[in-house]
Amino acid sequence: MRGRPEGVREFGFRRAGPAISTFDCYHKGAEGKRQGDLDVAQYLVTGFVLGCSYALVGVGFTIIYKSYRILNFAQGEFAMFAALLAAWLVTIKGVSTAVAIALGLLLVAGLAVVFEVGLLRPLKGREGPAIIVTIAAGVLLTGVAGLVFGKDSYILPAMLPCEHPIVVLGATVVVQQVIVVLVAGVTLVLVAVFFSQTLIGKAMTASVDDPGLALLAGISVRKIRLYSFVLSSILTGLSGILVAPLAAVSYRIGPTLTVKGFAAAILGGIGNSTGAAYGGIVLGVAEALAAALLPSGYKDGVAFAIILFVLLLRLFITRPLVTEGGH
Amino acid sequence: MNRKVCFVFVAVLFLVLVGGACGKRPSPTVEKPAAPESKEPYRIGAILSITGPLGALGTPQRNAAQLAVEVINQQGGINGRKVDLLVIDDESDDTKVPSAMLKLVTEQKAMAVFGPTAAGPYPIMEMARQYQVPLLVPQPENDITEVGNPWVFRVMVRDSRYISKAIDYLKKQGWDRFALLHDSTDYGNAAAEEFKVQARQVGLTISAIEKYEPTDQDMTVQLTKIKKTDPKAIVVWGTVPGPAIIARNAKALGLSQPFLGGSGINNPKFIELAGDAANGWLYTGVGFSVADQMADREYREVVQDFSQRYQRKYGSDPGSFGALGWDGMQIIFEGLRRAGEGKGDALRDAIEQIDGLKGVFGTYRYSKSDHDGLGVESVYIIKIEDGKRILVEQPSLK
Repeated sequence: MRGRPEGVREFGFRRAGPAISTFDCYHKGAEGKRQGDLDVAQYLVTGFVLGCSYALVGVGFTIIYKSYRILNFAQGEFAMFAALLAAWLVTIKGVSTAVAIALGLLLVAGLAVVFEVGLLRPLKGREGPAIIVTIAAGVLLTGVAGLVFGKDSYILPAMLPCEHPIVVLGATVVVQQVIVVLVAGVTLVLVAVFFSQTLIGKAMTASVDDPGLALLAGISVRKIRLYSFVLSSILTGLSGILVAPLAAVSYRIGPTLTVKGFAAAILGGIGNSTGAAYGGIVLGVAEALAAALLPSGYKDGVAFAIILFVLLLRLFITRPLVTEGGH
Repeated sequence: MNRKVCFVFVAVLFLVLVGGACGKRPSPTVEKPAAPESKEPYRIGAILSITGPLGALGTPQRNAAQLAVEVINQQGGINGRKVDLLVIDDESDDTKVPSAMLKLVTEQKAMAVFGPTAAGPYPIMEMARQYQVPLLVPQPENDITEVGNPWVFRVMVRDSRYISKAIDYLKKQGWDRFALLHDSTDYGNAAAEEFKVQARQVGLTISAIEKYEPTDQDMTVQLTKIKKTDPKAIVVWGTVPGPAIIARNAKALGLSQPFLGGSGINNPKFIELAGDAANGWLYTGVGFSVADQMADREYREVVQDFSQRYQRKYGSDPGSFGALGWDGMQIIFEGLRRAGEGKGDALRDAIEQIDGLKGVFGTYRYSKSDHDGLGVESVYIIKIEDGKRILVEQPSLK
């Protein structure tokens, strides 16, 4: 079987047809420059909101990278699982939205514990196998989600019952988009404060910088690693849940989110949470602008282009992959 | 040392045995609905995706096909002979289809084959010619009937017919300047090419063509670009959830243009996901979801009879894939009825003579030159109003 979208449809579609060529048929309207400005505002808003969700996944990547020195390629699947569970509970089981969201986050936190204790800890910090294990876990999570929740898409009801879009600088903004930005922003600030101000946050940073020394100082590196996994998965899960009322969630969205989060993380300098947050936003805006300026089919190439570019850059200017001293 | 060798030997033996047992698994699930009577039964084969990712599509197809065989056998069979249906599961795997076909036409001596559900039909189309067995393919790709293989029939509306209907409607409504937003799958890309050709033929202008990934979360950017080109209507070609997100984005942006979708929208999920934003959307689809609104009583009864029987037996909705399983069997039955004792050439010619068989998907008309069966008259414009599907124009009775 070749890649086909699932779901009950009337149609099947395969055939390796040629990619559609650029169809250049834009008629320059009489709207003039002003209309153009408004459009840019719309692209920026759309990109910024998506960027906030990428930022959360990206920060999730860096937190695990900092404590474990591995990339968790199941990151997007965690986001998918939380969002899908929440949307499924609301749609199929009639659970209230707040409870469903809480359960979604709890589930990914639980999954993170199982994942860390059961799969990664036995590998005793061997990075190569651990990364392969995360890839396998991602595939497994996608499969399990497909079995448990089915191949259908679900949507989470809006978190505030306000249907009317707001117009900001000529750009249409839905209330949920404001929620995404606010919640993501507050969460990211909290994470930064957590790492720089709280004892456990500092302990996490310390145990990464020098595990031996941290151990001497009475910090349990094991516990720290577990905490970082749980924190990372909750951030990622939150990212999925925040956009679930805007877009439909299905079991298939995990890998795309992983790529976006990874691109955000390496754009910000892997291991640097603040950088990853900015990286996410830059990626979101770049995607929206790419969709606007290029034929929209090229949009998803942006994340890959960024990954490739940054990795090549790092290869040529031999900097360590980790930005030291970042959060 | 000796023990080690012995252990390895046993382990290998064990693996071979298990492997052998596993290898046998995909052997045909031979399902005999009724004991054969004095006359030898007609043998029909089907290659369907019962397991694997396409299982949700192939299972209702199998159920409906078995139901059809059960019903015909209860009614005394065809020409006094019972019908035997042999279903082979292709496990949603392209590569398992040819071996299934080989099994059906050689070992099982199937006289006609239905399938595959959605896996690639192209290799077995050649086998149908080689073994002279009519093959009924329930898939929409245009090229299935374009290769000029006289043994291949289609049991579905081909892709281009939906587009013809959409173009026809756009023209009729005076929406001579439209924008197209499609997903970046083969389905959406092929549709875009077809739209370009057909629009040019009838003199419609496409103001913009934009695409999106099936997993995209927001299509505001594409819609904003489209809005700038000021089209009179916006055509959306993709499968759920994409169009549902587009509907929501379009509502938020306050786009006033009418939206016209493809058959990918003919899915209750679209209305569920899009909510209020689905209201006013038009789409091209086959008639059975709005059969209760049809003036054609005979067609209404065919659809009702099938869905009631299916509901009673399986307790679920047959969906469009179930409908295809049923229609495929009816076409083979009609062919056998006409061919009598003949098979091969005779059966193929008999199917070609079918002219006006009312199925669930529409009215099938085959001929020597047309193996598509369903014409553009089987496609309707359907509108979503308050979450319900309304037939927009009543077809002329034939």
